[in-house]
Amino acid sequence: MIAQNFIDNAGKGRQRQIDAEWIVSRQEAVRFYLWKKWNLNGADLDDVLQETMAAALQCCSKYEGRNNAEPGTFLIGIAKNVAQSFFRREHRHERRRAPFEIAECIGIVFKDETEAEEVAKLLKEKISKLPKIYVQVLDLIFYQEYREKEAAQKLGIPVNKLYSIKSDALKRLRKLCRNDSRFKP
Amino acid sequence: MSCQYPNRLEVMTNYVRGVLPDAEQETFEAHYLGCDECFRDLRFVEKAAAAMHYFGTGIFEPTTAKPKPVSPGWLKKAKIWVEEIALSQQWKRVVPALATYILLVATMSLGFYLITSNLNLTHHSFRAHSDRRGAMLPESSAQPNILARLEHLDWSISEATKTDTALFARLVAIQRIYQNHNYHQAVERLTQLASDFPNSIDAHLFLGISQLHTNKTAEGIQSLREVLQLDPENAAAQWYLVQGHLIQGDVDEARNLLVTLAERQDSQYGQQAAALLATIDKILVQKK
Repeated sequence: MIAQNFIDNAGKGRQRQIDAEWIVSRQEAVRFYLWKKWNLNGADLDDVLQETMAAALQCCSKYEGRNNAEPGTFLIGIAKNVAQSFFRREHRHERRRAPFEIAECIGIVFKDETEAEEVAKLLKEKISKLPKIYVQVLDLIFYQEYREKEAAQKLGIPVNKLYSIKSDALKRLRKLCRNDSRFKP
Repeated sequence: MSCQYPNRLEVMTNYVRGVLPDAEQETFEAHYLGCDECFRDLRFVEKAAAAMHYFGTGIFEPTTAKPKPVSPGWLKKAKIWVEEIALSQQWKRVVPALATYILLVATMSLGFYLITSNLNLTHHSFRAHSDRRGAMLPESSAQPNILARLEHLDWSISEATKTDTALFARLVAIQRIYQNHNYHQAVERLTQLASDFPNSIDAHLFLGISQLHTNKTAEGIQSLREVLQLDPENAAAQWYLVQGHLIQGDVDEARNLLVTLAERQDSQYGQQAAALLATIDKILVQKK
């Protein structure tokens, strides 16, 4: 059985387990990471993911959790190596940042286009319940792609205030959408 | 247990938008790959951000459009307001703060009411006092005898007294009477005892206190003065003498004694004296 328990001796007393079960439970997170960071999609994504999971399962017994490292570091290291090997094999250039194209979000962020539209409708309904300034901030940051400083200038409020409004708006939205099945994992 | 990753929502937003610095990006990636809670929230932010980005025209249309001529009904506004309050974390701070504020205002109002009531009572008491004497006292000596705090003093016989067997035996007998709050009988017995043993501090002290309790204020004051002649530092005698003067309405004399007593930090009466002195001064200032 590939199972190793490691006690973090860095003083915080947290127990970090890396075993087959844990690795399998992180599959969706690794998929997201590969999509987001390496811009992999479709069959390529499935191949790299499968290879990453297999490599992680094979060498999880070697994980020592040195320097109080996050267990995710272990997965990142493997995913990075596998992705780089993939790009070398395919003679492709690495694309480290996911472009914001709706088609590329399908299958990862949204199940399909119908779900994307439903989520948009739901958000419209929920956002209408937020104070006007919150809506304006969300509009400028997420739709019109303003940077925080520019958005603050446009609205005539301090940047710190804008940051707090943005965080608060997202927290409220999350609460409002918590019970909706489309936002459940 | 909620995740303690610093500033996580802000980091997530920047990560989703691709504006997080590389070093921070790697740290966060290593974190969310191992943290369920962060990954769940990250999925939400990603989904919401993508929806807002691609469907922004539809989502934010009402805010960019000109205001509608007909405003929503007050009921809808109230509903939105209630939802906002419920969603906001601020109510956790606002409600206790509001409750504290209300409590503070109520306490201050009550205090003000009590003080003004005291002043009115003092005024009535002063009038009654003046009527009895048939002459007006000066304004400064209008006495708040309501301030007098005549309480029972537990009597424990002093060690020095125990050497005198005869005195000790009689004190023990009277002590029981006094401790039962039978002040009238205690006064009778202690008067006899004080004349038999004129140097007994206990006898004079508890005689004075018992006399104050039986409304023989002048006699009580006299007995307590005798205690102070025998033992000028006796704090209990000073305290009860203050009470006697307050009952008589002689605030000036009581205040002078309180000033001395308040300076003494070694007795239990020091703090009480300081507090009473402050109250008296406050009332005198208000009257002026």
